Amino acid sequence: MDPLTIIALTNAALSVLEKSLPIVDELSKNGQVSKEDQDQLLKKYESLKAQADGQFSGPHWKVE
Amino acid sequence: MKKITNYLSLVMLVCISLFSVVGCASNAQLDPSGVYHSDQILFTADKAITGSYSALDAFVKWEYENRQVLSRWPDIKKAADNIRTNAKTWIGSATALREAYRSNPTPENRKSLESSLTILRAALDQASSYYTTHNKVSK
Repeated sequence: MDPLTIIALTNAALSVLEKSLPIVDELSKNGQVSKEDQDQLLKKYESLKAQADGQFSGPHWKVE
Repeated sequence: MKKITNYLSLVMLVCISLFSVVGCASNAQLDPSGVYHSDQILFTADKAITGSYSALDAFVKWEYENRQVLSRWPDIKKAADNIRTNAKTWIGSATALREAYRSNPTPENRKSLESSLTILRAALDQASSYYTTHNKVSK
């Protein structure tokens, strides 16, 4: 590959990277664990703590 | 049965990967207005505790439903019975230490919480090892 082509390709790649950085930043912000997901996890934890949904019950939990 | 084995694989993988972040900063970005108020330790601990229960429940169910076929390897039932006997205590300890950390988030309480999660992890590692070695013979 000739040097001019390499330079052109490198410039193109850099230009794409420059344009994509704000998008990447936005995507990482949007990767937050939502309030709803946090609520759901806490409910699941509270249910387990209280064994409110039959946790540890069922025939598969009996030592035979 | 295929459904439960696929579910078990996924749950095991998720749990083991979760445990890898308990001792260090989690990568999860918490919405700061959520119930965890950006507390990564508490969030990750709750994921580890609830995920551990799901994985242990799935493992003892798998052993129970495939007991005859798996009887060739008595260690599997032994491991499952150990979980049946002790899981409530392990989860109970983890939740108690989680509550202690929540009330008073000191480095000592964090360390105690992490120790309790290490015990859960050891049980999961063993269960996962038996499952991945022997799940092909189960229905």
